[in-house]
Amino acid sequence: MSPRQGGRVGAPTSPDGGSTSPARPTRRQFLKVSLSAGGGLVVVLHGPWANGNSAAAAAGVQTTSDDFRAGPFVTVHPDGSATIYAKNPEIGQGVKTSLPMIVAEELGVAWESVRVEQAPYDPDRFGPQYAGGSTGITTNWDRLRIAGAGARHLLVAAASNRWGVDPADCSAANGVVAHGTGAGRRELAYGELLTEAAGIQPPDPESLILKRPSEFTIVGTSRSDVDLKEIVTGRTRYGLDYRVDGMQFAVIARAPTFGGRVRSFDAKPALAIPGVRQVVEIEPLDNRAYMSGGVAVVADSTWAAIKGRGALVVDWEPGPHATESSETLRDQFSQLIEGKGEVVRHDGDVDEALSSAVTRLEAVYEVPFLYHATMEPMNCVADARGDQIEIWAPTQVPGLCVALASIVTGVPREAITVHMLRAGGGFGRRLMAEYAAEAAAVSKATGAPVQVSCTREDDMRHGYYRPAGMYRMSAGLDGDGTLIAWESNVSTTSRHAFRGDEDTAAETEVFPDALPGAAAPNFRVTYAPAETSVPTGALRGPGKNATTFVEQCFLDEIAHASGQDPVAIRRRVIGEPRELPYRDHGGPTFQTGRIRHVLDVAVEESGWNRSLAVSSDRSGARPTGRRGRGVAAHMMFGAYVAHVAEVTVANDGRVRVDRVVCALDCGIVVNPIGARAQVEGGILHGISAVLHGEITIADGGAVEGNFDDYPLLRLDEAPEIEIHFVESSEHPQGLGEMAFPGIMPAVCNAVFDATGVRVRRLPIDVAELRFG
Amino acid sequence: MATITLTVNGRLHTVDVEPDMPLLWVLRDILGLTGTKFGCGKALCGSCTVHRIRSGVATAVRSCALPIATLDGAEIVTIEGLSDDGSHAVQRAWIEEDVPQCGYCQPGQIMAAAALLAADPRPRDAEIDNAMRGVLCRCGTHARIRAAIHRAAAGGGDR
Ligand code: FES
Ligand code: FES
Repeated sequence: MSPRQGGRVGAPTSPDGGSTSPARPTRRQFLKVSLSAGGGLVVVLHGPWANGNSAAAAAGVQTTSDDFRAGPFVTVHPDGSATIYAKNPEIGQGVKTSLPMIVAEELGVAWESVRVEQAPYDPDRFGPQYAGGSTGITTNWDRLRIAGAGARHLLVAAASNRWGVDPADCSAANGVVAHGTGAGRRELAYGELLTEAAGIQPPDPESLILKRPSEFTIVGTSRSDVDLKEIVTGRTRYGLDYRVDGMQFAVIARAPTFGGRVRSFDAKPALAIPGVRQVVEIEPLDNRAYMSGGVAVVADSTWAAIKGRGALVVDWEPGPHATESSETLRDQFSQLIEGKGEVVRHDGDVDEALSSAVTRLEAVYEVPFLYHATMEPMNCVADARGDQIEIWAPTQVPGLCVALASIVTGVPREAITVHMLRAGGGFGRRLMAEYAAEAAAVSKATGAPVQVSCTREDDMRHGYYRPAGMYRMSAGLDGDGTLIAWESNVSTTSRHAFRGDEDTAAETEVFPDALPGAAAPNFRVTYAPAETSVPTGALRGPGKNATTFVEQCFLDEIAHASGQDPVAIRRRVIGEPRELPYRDHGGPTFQTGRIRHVLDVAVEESGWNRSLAVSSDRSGARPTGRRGRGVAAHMMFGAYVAHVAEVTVANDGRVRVDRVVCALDCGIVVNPIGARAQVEGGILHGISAVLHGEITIADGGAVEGNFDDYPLLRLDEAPEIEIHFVESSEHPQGLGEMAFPGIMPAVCNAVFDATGVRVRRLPIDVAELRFG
Repeated sequence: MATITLTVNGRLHTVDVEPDMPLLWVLRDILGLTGTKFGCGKALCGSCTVHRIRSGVATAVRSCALPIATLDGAEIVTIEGLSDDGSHAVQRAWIEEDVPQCGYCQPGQIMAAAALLAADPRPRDAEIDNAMRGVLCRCGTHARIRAAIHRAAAGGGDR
């Protein structure tokens, strides 16, 4: 897209520009891999070394003040230590640690001698830089291995030249190149080789030999977050902590209705508040999805800005959806699921199969809007003085920050710099970048650097929510209990449609190649977007976080209706190990053997066939109540995940999740401790959503404003969690999102097991579960 | 405006601010101590937890809900002052257990845990849950928070 002042913001299509739809620059596209005679992997790179073009890669090899920079990621210092750039934004998903681990592995240095620095935003040098779609590890794996191996190659070449030996006879590890064995062994430390290495022609990436997984010494071992000590001493600077000389603090008054705008305002009462400096109006972008405008109050402190905003008088034009509410949306959904949608996939003849089915089931499911609730609210610092802009942002999409800041200010993109700050959570919320547009606009208007921040109420009432939706599900079984027909009629508030991509409204709202539906010979999916002004966006496991709940619960209903065990019916649907076509993110194939395996592991480790009483809880102090166990399994973004949940439902209806067993196959695990943390986080996030998560809409705006009416899971509600990663040497997949969707149906299926009450609408309604 | 004198991390500060400004914003925007985090502004999330010291005893308080006018002469300790170098038993336990994910809530978690251990050197799970349920973590570090508190307790809190 080519931005103009006031121009329409098209939907960015590159991941770098903010879309969550993943590019899959897999090695199939630019690498060929084969085993060399020596048994190492030969990587043939069709394209650049590391990533930039070859000329840039070559230019990247240089010595600066005795350091040796090999490619964009690696600098080796004379003392043998190395600095490695972390290319992507860190939002708590651990890539600031795990991505440099991949480079260090191939570079052949001890992790302890590595210093990690956050890379600047410069995609020409570093390749795409964003955090979305759980793609950080999977799409950078090859690139970063090559970056490390390329630098190692030069150092080995320098040593072998000095010794006059064949580089193939040399080895490199722990920052040392070695040749020979026993008494004839010679060693040179990397730090002694820098000048010579810099004089060597950068390698043809096609000639690089990468390590075999069995040779890994860093990848696959647990490494602490590189910022750990800074975090526990309070020294980490998140976005809200960033300070620039002369910086002012701003908050923005936004329309109380989605789609509303400023008619007029009186700044005087705000300016009368001590500390308030200026009041400026921010125009919405033509595509309001990217920034909806408002009135900014700029002050000497955040508190003065908040108070000033409280005094500000704004007359709002409510916009076209001012009477919208959760009820009006439900009415729309109810009508739209009656077969009015676009047919996304139709195999066989669903109507015929359903009418001839021996067992036939129908159910309607619903999911609410969900709020991301990053603990650090949205914020951004911008300095737009002069004809350049500098931005400091906790963001998942630095590229979109540049694009939007350019549009709102008219400053060309080349003159805009973005610094990626460690973010206090992301979960997809920071895939939008209205905060950067707002900060740039305010700074431009005031002529001073500014930090624009959200209070919790701002953040919660002006989010980009997980879409709400309704799902009419139908299934038919033959006399053997085989699934012969499956239909999903879906209506949601499409996030693609919200930002103007009507053509792709169904994308990530339904997944027409996913099991169980795709296992039925007669299968139909229809989709119809609802008309709404409620902002929606990507939230951890977009789409899957709704469809997996619906499908895995409905499959449970089918199991019970046909007298089958919930695990047995899943094994039956999954079938023999084979590859099914899968067009969505995580494809191109769905490997049924891998989903079967994680299901088996979760079932086995959970003690599925033991009576629940023996798998009792840790403290023995659970409230007396009905206990139940539930299962779910799905594939998401190329990772295979199964959950078993155990719950206790108290007599007053309150649900407590006692224990969760989760098995995953995500290929090679780079940093096990970080991987576990992502999975635990996903599980707790899912339990929080099932028990508490709902944004309601009334009078055209969001009702909930803070953690009193939008509760998050607290420490006393956290279950025991056991995680099992399947041993694998498959290409690594991401993990940040994959454990979130499946826990929701696992818990709801456990609630059914405990109570006989089927949860078809989230969050769980405690009143429906009361006993006696 | 009000002129308030208080001790923060052992240093005396005099600030000239609106009397209703919460301690949180005085720390962050006036004194430049940004280790204490904003999460909700309404004593609901615990991100802003600091210690108020009275008669040598540390109590965990939510700095977002404490107007500065009520703190003349008060003694406050923030995450920056818990130790000079991350050596407080709770910080060491947090490092050993690799508690943080995004890390944003962790200063509040650590301050709450340090106050808990100062009052009760051997808390049981139920007591930990009770003391810590007021500090939200969206990333899901719950299990490691429990483990780290047990670890710090076993190693003997140093306050
Ligand atoms: S910011 Fe003080 S408790 Fe949330
Ligand atoms: S570590 Fe991210 S909110 Fe707790």
